[in-house]
Amino acid sequence: MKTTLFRGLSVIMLIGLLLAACGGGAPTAVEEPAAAAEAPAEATEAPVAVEPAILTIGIPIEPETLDPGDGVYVQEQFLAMNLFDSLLSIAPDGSLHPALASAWEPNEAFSEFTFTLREDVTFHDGTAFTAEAIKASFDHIMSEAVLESGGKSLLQDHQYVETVVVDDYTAVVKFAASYPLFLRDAARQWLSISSPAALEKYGADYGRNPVGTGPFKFVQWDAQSQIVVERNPDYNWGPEFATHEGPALVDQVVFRILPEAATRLTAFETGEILIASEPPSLDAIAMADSGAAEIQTFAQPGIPAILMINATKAPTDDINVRKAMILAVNQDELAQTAFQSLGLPAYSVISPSTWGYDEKSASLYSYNPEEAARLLEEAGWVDTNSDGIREKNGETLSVDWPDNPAWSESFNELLIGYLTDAGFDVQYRSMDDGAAYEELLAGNYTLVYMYWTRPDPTPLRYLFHSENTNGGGAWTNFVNEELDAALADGDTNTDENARKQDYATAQSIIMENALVLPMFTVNTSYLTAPSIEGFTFDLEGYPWLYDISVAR
Amino acid sequence: MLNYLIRRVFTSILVLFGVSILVFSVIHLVPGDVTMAILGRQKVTEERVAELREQLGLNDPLYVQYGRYLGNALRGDLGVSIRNSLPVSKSIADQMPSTFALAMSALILALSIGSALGLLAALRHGTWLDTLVMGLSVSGLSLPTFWMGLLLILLFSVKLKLFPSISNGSTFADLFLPALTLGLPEAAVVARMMRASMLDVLNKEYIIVARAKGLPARLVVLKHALRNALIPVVTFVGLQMAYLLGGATIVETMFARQGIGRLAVQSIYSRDYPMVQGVVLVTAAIYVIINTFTDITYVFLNPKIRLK
Repeated sequence: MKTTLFRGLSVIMLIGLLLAACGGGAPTAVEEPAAAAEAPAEATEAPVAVEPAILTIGIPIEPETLDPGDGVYVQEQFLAMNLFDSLLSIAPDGSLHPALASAWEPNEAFSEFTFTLREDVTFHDGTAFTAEAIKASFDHIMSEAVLESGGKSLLQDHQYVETVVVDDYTAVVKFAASYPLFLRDAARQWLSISSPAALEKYGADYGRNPVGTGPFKFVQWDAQSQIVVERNPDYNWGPEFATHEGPALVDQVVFRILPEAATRLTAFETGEILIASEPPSLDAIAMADSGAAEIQTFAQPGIPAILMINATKAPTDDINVRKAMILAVNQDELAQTAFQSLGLPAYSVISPSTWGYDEKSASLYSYNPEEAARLLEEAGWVDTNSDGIREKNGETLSVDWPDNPAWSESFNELLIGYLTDAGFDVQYRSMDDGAAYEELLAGNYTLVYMYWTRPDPTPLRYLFHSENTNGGGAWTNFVNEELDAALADGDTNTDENARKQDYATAQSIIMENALVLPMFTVNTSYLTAPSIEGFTFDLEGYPWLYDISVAR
Repeated sequence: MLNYLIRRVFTSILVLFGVSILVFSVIHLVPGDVTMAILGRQKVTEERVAELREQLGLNDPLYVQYGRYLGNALRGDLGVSIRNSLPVSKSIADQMPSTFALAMSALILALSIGSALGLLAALRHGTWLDTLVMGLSVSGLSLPTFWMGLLLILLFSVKLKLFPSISNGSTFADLFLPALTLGLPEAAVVARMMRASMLDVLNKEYIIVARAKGLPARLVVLKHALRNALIPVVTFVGLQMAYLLGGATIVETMFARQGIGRLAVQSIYSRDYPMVQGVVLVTAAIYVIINTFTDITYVFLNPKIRLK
């Protein structure tokens, strides 16, 4: 008997040894950076701080990098906007304002842009902001170090040539093609400006040691746990549309990485986080009703949640069948299901908050199952064997939807229900993204789920221009010269009104040809504690932390 | 002795070798092309796919790929994360201490709560207390960890506001709820074993003798019975370390703690194959190493096995 005791004890001893050998032993404790206490309170009109105002935010996904030029995803954009500034800034109403650049001048062709820079800006590492930083940041994005990123696709797609440093405070950014949207894109987080010294110093590790000019400085990043940033006390170059001047109103922001929605909600309830991003809708509504929280929602601009319909594969090569699909679906109910009372139905290929939204194209279809049935019968699809599914010449009205259920689980059954009621036989094939993508490349699909957040309608070109059929993203396979011309011109025409007209034409061609089944506008939502004041969204739906304060 | 030692180490190496083949195969067992799985629905170009294939070394024959993988792994190089370009071995080393702290605290909690309850049940054998403890232990065993965790959070964090619902450090407050969640099912088993073992010992002749000698009941129980009754319990609990490391996955996710369990989950979600491979390989290696060393130490301490 005694030997079994030894056996057990030896295991425990070994584990202890392993633990001790594990270098450092104890896991990283949640440290509060000492610097936070130093953040001077006298710089603002804020009341004299007794203890530092710490804003804690629960975010669902850990960023992959904090290098804005290397980022691809939403969380990277959200973090970057607090650490960095861009050349320009966009107000929530879409108007352009100075940021790091105090003035700007495009050439006639909108291919060269001259920026006059502010002279009083310093990076978090103490180095001065000059035109050299613009060149270094853009060249860094175009370098081998960045494989693929939001910024890279902006610069690359418009044939970035170089940035010329005219003098310390004048830079000219040159493209080989006309890029009328550059001034707006230059205000986005993807093209924000990094410290050249830091880029040089950290090299491949820059994504974990970001240095910008933004209202908050990077402090620390504990993998899978949190990212801490603190107020930049020297910040005096906030955008003119902000509600205050000078440094940010909170001393420190802690982004807690909480992938589980239930965990975020509990942490919010216990007060461990003051803002919870993407809470479960039903619980969020219940909490807001009880007065314990406010829900902040934002209908994202860009492409709403749609299903792209393959226009070259039977049976949806018939326009009547496509129209019938759209008419068979009740968008109101669908949005309610996906987001409860926070949902907004979508009726067009771009959402209402997008620049260039065309109302007329959005009024072509509304839920009408009778009309859907009529169109299908007109097209020859009749239920001959009364099994509820329509047939024509021995073929069933079958549509194929290869999809990753992670994207569509909140609504796909209801959607399939509508289509089945109309007499469609929906083959929903559940698979992971890679397998689904291969099915798309092989042409084995009728429906493709898509959404794309962007303040302007430029993604339409990727999704509908015929140059992008055969795997480039134009999954409808629809070819139309007028549509191609409108999309190409919309991307390059320097006259804003002409561009607006181009996109209106594109929207109307897409909807008249029933190329997409619009479903709902993708919402971003946040739960905020009653102590949070001044919560607003930027143009793309990111919380604007610079103006937020925490009541004590 | 030496013979046994060699045999034992050799089989362990064989197991690790098998694990490495399995782990290596994962990337080739993904349906379709792994590059597609990694790139997902990004706007992919042919060059990007080719580049990634080259980066992953997928163009070489399988045995070359495996040889390279094994060679690198033996040197501690488990590759680079596709998600954030950090070395896999560094990410794992960063997360490991947190998981060990959690597993150890859970083990200590399980042992103390379980033995106390089991002892109580054995001493009050047949009374309502016994029934209560056994009832509790059935619940402890049957309730899934994620449900138990939610209940504990509801009580201790939301209602009583005693402990944080999300925690990362290794202080008592930070570790209490996660360790309790992970340790309670273990405690339930310990309580049952403790009770059975104690009842068994209490009926042994030497206990009757001790009592007959007129020793006080407290002394009989603590000095004579408990020591012997603990043997199977401690053995069992020690060997449960593997279970605790595995169970940490759910608990870490639930409490948003750092740790290799959560690292595994996140890597699977983001199709970060090198990271998944690394975590599986390292976890398997830890199991094998713990078991091997246990067996060897055990043999060293127990001459009876040496003779077999």
